[in-house]
Amino acid sequence: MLLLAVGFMTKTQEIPLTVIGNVTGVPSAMKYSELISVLKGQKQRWNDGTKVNIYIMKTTTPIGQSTCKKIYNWSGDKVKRYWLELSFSGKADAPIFCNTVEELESYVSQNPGAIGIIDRNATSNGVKTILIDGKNPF
Amino acid sequence: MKFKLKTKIWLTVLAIVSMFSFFSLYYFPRQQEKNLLDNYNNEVQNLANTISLGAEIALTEENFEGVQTAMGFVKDDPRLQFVKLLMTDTMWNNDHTHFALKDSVLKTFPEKSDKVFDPQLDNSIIKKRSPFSTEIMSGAIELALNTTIIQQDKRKIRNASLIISAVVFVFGILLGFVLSRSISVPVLALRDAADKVGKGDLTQRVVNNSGDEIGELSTAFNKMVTDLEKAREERNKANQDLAAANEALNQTVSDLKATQDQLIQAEKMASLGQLTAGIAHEINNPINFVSANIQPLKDDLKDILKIVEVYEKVINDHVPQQEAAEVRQLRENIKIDTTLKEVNDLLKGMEEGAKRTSEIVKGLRNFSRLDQNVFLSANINESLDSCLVLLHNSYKNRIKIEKQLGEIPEVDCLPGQINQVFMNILSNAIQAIPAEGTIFVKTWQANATVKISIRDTGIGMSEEVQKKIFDPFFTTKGVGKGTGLGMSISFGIIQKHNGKIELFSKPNEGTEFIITIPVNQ
Repeated sequence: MLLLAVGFMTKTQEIPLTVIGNVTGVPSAMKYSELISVLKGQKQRWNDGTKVNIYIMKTTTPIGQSTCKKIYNWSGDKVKRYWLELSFSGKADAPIFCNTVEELESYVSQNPGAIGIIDRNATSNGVKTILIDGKNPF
Repeated sequence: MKFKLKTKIWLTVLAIVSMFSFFSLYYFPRQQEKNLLDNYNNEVQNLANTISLGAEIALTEENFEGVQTAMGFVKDDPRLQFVKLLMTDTMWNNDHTHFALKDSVLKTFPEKSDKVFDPQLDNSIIKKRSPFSTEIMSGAIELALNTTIIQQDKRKIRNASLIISAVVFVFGILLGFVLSRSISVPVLALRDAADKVGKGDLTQRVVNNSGDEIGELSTAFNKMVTDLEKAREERNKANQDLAAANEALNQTVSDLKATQDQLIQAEKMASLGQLTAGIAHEINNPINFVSANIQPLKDDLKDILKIVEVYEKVINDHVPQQEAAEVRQLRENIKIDTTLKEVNDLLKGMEEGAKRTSEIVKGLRNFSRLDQNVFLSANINESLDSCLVLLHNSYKNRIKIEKQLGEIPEVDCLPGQINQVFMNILSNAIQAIPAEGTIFVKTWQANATVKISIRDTGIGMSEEVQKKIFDPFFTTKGVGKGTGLGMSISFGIIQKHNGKIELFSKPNEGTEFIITIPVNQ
């Protein structure tokens, strides 16, 4: 598995990632460290108290793989495991792993406080692109 | 060991009830409980497998909520003791030569359920493990449900079994009663009836209106007894007929024997008659000769006496005394008067003897009349006289005979047989007088009949003897002194003459026979 992960890591090509969020609760810009904190379940509420809902692409997808690499610097499995332990320990709610960008964007648009990572800017109503350290993609 | 039918029925019913009770109280509940437990185990396992599968799918789908959802599948189950999501890690030793699998709990619901229990010792909980393996992790779902409901179900099963057993027991008792009554009572009734029938009581019948085999048996039994009764009646009737036929046969045999004896007696009498006739005939001529010569002899003697008297006169008157002395001496020696008297007496005796012999011969001839099957006119008085003559030797100097023989006409009869009757009665009368007595013989006419009475002053007869006197072979004489046929034959002879014979007797006073014979046949 480790070998596969290494192989995966060596073979994966990083895709530029864009952070999108629901227009309610999620700030339009944030620092990268905050993003990490949120995506690792450490920060679970936005400044206005809205609960954080994380939506990322499945680790089997290119975007998902890039997300694991860039955000977590882990393999997809490790990310899943991390979130498994975190969620089952009750410390945080696990992210929703989506199959397609449209699906992810749809979830984000429907859930206040939802944040997601895709490979493009938001296109739906109710969803905005979040600048990370002022950049997009980050 | 013999058991009565009722006992067998009860034993059977109790055995069935006991077996059912065993099954319903012990075996079935145990089986049910075992099945319940097995099913519960399976259910728990299936549930664990379901959760495990859900978790596996969720993990594969990277749907961590789905994992919690899968675990939450049993959250509201009241039986839930705990459900755990375990992560199985392979722990290698430093040398990477050995490994051990270590489970770590990722999630538990309820969260405080960390109690460790041993299912071997604690049967209040059933714990099942369902492993899964995904790329993320290998793990297992551990699901523990309590067995409270099982215990409750077990109690319900036992209670139901108890109730069913009780119902079956009561039903069994009732069934036993019903069966014993419906089977054993009629069978016992049949037995008792059969017993009585065996002892001869054919009035026995059993009442059973059931339509089953026992009813059929009762019907068959009743029919059998009816047939037996009928057969017995027929047999009794046949026996009665047989007895009657037997009696008739005996009577016929008796009659035949009597007839045979009568025939023999008649044959004897006939033979005797023939013999007597022969003897009488042979004696008759010489006696007639003697009788015929007595009178001439007497006449000649008279003449001789006359000559002797003349000679005496001449001698007395004309012969000198000296010359007549020889004649006188011879006369004195011979005692001529005495001699003459003696000769007269002798002649008289000879005459009487001849006369008597002649009477006896006549009597014998009368007695031995050979025309026995032809009715002839006969003089009854002469017959009686003849019989008295023949019997004279047996009653002379002892019994006086008083005769009162009336003026009676001759009677159509079988003379020989009528003589036989008179001889028989007179002979019996003589024998009935042990020492001295009198026999009265009387005859008279009564309209168209002639009556003959022979009465003796003998020992008489008792009532019992009088009833039997005319029975064949009945005799009051000693063994070998009488055949007992005389009176029966006499009775038969008088009957043949369309007459009757009456008997009057009193013990120690004497006996009288009155014979009535029609004058004309």
